[in-house]
Amino acid sequence: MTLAAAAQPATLEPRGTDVESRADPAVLAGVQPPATPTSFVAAARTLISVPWLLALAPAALLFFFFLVPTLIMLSLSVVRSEAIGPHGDITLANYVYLLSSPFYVWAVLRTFIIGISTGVLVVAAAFPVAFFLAHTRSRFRGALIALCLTPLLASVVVRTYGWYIILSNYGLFNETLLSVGAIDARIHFVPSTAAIVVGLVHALLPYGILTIMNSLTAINPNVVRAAQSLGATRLSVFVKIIMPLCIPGIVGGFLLAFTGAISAFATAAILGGPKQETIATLINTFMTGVLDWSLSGALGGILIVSTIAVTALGYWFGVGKARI
Amino acid sequence: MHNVAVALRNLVKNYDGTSVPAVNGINLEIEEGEFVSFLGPSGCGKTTTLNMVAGFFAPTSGSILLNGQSVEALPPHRRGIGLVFQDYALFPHMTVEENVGFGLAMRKVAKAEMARRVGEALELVRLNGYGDRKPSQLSGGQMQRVALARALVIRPSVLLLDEPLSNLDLKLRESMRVEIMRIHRQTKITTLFVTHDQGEALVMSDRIAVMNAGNVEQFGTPSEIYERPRTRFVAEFIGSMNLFRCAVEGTSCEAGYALARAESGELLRVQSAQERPSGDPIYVAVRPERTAITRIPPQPSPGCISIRATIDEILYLGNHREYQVRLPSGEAGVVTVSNVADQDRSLATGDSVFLTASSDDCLILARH
Amino acid sequence: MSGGVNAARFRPSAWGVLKAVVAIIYLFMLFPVFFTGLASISEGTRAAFPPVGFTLAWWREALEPGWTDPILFSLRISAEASLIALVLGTVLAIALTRYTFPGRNVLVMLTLGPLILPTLVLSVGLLQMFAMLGLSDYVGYGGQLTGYVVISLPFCVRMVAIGISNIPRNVERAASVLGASPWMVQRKIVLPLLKNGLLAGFMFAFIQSFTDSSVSLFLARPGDMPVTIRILGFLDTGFSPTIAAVSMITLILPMVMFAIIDRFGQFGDFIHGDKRHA
Repeated sequence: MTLAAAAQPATLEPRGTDVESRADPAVLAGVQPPATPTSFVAAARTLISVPWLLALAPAALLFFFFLVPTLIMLSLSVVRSEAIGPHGDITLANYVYLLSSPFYVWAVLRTFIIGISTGVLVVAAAFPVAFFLAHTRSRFRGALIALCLTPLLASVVVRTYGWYIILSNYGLFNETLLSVGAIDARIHFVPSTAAIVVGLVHALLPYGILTIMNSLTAINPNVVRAAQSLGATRLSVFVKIIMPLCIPGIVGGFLLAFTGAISAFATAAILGGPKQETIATLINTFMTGVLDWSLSGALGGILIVSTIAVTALGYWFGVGKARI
Repeated sequence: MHNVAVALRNLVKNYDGTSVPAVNGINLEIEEGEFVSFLGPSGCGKTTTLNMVAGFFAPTSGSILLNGQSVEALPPHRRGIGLVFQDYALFPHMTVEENVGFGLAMRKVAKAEMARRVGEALELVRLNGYGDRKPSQLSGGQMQRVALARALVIRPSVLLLDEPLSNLDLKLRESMRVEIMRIHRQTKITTLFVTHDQGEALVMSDRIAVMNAGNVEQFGTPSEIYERPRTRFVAEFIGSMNLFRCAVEGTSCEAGYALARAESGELLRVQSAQERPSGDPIYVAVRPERTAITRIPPQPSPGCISIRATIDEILYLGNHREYQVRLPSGEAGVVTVSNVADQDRSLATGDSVFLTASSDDCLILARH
Repeated sequence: MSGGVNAARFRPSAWGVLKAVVAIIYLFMLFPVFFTGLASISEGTRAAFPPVGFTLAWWREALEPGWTDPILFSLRISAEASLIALVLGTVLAIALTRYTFPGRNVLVMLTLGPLILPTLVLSVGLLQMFAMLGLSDYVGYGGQLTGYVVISLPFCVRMVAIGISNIPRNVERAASVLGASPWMVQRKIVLPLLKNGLLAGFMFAFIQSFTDSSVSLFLARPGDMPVTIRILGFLDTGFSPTIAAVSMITLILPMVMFAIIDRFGQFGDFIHGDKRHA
């Protein structure tokens, strides 16, 4: 679903880009570099080069089982289809249909509200933990890091189920509040949009912590010392040095939480109800209930476009910048 | 005649996407048992040359011969050479013993023989008793010794050392220098030593190849390199050198000498290996420690040159003083004088002085 | 622990406040797991609080084939998917980190794709593709396996790529000069040094597959039902503490597994980038 480390794809760059230490791949592979080949021969050589031979199987897998299905789904969203058989001309009717019905527009809006509030809350909760873990000298540091990864080990279903026990009508919250007399009648926490957000924040928090901790530990301590030596107080060191330097981590954590939240199905299905439909639960309905693959394709299209847009925005805003 | 252990013939290396060749036609012959340094600033092509000898980079053109055999077609693991890296490159997951034994294991040497040779190699680098340690438990100097033992244990035909001392602190660097020289004396393995440190190169080498911009500027013994530099680059890269802009004046001078007119007007009679046409722009070059500085003009003598100058700065450096001077032409010069009792200590900044040197200590270098 | 200890100082230190906040967030993170565990051993049948009594009845039910079969199925398919993803991810990581070649950037984008795009979308697309190609028979085990490999692959690539970039180039060169063929360099040097990265890659891949409910949502068949989908289906009909017990099993099993694997290498350090033991 998501990956804490996805915020730093830069590590995939090949090492040793300076000329002196750059190894000629052809030499390492024990083959002579081609001498001024024609374009056809060059193309053929490209395809049978060592890196492509290595990458062939995984690249084929990603092509046939990731790119092609995604494109098929998108292409189904721009035709009318009856069950499995698509027919007719290319049309935006599916999108128009969805976006002209208040019910679906609300579902889409609700999905984004869930995504944004989950992202903000994840960052807000993850930052103190990440800051603590990055700076503590406690001998339990390793154990604490492992502990904050446990929500990852539990499946979405398990995590969400725990919240269901806590938030449901006869759950911990209601019983506690009733017994201390704070409320007279049971509050219906579940199903609600807020319950979905609580469940998602919990589920996605580890990714936020890992991402922000990565960027905090990457800060050279001498930079902080330099700022202190120049007269900066602890507060201004934090505001002027640490915060700007970990913006990539914060933005990365937000992106992971946002994209994870808008496409989460299990949490929305368990902690939400008929009045809390999201894009993900609607896709499930269209796919398995109504069997309208064009509409589910269109909803998938909306998810893809918004994910890519927000990710691009995030990269533009800060993930790609400020690498020290 | 000695056997040629390593021969480089018109060696050229062009990296993809760069117009300037990293190595631009090197020709060198290194004799068996010789210790040869490749000396030059970073980017001069010395490491590229080493990597081509090791087999990591293929030459763009030219050839490399090890013991008379062309090796371009051989991958690194079939060349049978030893290589020590600046960053040691020990195998972090193996003990010292396993590191040193790795090359022997690859050659399928029998267990008992392997243990004996690993022991010998560790003894050679004075690390007996460290066999069970992991690289992470060693100091920088110890790691470098392990790297040396690992390279030597396979009895390579050529040992390549890629700036092996650069990561060590000063004291350690000096003792490792002596250590490497001792090991070379004991093993007599032909050694190619890449360095940017002129002091290391002068102390350790039988011969030095001074490299600049992909070319070997001069290949010779340390004393040839220091005392008879052939180009301005060599003269300035090894030690420091006073260079005075001059023009050849006439050709009427006895054999082996030439007359040169300095820009500030003095006529200088200096030693000259080759005949140059009148008016040819040249430098007259002389080392700071072979230049004397006096307040009164010296007696005119054909065996001596003398140039007027003003003192800019006097630096006290403990065992010697350095006078930074300026000629009337604006050129700068340096004179170093040992701190011995009989020198003139009254010289001060701003004083007018004369620089003198023996004609035989002066060189003529081409000026372009 | 500086706040409050010193009576003269009324303002708690910033660090003390931070510790308190962190403690609350940790409670929040462990809350659901704790109460799921509690529900699984209490006698009440509703999701009720406080728990009443103590019983192992739910665990007994959870350990019957009706639940152990999907759990074993999940373990098996996740292990298979992770191993395939690890092998493919390793060769891809080597290609991407060790070579510059035409089409490399496209390949990087393709590799990151499954990370960025929602898994649910992939599931929809896979189902539609299999149906259109008339390969509906492969929906089920093969389809799920493929989906798991796709969503795990980026994690493996990433972990192995970090592992590879931690191996100095000169270490491999040193081995090769000492007479190791390219194959021997991989076997004797690269692979052992890559161990932690491989373990971390496997672990992340396994978690992705084992905890997934999106890929299987549309691709699972009644006979090939992972435990997550089984729980989801069960929750439609209402609450049962049996599910609490099942949930605890699915949480504990991978934890035990990783604890065992961690004995063979410190992939934990690897995950949080702590190189002190490296």
